[in-house]
Amino acid sequence: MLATHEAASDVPAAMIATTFLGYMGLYAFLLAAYVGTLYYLAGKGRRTDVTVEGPGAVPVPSQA
Amino acid sequence: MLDDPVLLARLQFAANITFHILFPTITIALGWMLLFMKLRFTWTRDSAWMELYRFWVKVFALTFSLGVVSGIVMSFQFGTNWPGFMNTVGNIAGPLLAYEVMTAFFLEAVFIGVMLFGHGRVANWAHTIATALVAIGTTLSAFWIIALSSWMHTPAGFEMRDGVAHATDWSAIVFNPSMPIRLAHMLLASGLTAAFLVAGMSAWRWLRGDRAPAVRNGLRLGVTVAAVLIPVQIFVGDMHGLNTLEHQPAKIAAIEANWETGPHTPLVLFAIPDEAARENRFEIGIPSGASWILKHDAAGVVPGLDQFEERHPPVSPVFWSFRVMVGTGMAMLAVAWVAAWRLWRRGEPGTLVGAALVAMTFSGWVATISGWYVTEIGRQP
Repeated sequence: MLATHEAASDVPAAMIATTFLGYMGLYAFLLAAYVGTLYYLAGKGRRTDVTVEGPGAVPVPSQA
Repeated sequence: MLDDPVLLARLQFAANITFHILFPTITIALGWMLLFMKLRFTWTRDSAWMELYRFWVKVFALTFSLGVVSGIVMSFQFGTNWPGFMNTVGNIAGPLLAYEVMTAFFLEAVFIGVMLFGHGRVANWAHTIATALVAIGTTLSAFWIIALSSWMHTPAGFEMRDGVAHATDWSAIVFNPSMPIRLAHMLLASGLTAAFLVAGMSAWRWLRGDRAPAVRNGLRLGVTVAAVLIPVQIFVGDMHGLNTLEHQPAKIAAIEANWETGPHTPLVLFAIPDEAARENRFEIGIPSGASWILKHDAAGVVPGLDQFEERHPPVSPVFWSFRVMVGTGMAMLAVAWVAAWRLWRRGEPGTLVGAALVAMTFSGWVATISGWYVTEIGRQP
């Protein structure tokens, strides 16, 4: 069995801590932006310009 | 804490894989849901399905891109954070990661363009096939990554020469003992994550007064998939637990916070595990519950942490992560079945059930992340 401490690098702790904090800040920003974008897209409402072809097509009714 | 490089490397890698898994766990199943939407549109010509497709394909593209970018960081961190690991098992891990890129990522990367921009520009059948290939690609990607992850838990098909792992049987490496059940558990987790995302976002639109047919279809699709998958997931989760008991009993002992091996082991519902005293504080448990679940016999002997002195994972994180996962799963079961019943009987969710679905929009993330914490922290030391 390979224990975790045997697999770790010898990079100084301060360097890992700095990049760790950088990652945390970046990921928090990206996650907030992702969730915000989802709700922005959902809040834009329905599309009415969908192209439907062929017989029997059911068109999108006009927005109330 | 800040002067311990191993702990910091763990935290950094954990932060990255936590962020990364948020996105594949959506795209793996959302790809198949998009294919379903496209096929429903093709068969019925009901434009509400295409409207739904067009909304969710944008979400898929956004999610896919974040998953790819965070995955690249992770592959670098294998080398920067864990060079000793890659020096030892690079002969196994390297090819498995390469297979993922060659067979899955290329498939996704090529056809996602057709999927995103091809409707109306290529034939409908070509656009549908592109959607199918992207869905297959996301699942293939999960296959290879789970094969590697499982091999790290239950290694097989290799031999050690001069401290380095060399492959002797690739079939045994890929289909190692925990791989099939872990893959099933992960694919179902992805299905539930995407289902609750679709249902939750649709319920949010519904509660805001959007009664478009696409919203109704999204609501029904998300709730139906969730209601069907959650009992299957509970069953597969139990099988995964039995597999873990066979191959990683120390992890099961930590999950149960079971300090002593013996029969009639209680199922601990709540406790504060105390590793120093090697006991639980404020324990509330069901007598013989763990023996019954893990051995299907109230008198079944369940391995305790006393068998793994100094060689077991940290108990509290594994114990609590498991309970968060199971608790979220139970909430998923309740909300999905009540919402399904409500949609079936009345055709709409209503304010209360709609709000519950909105609250559960990202519940799949909570369950998936806590489940992976159980799996990966439980692999320590």
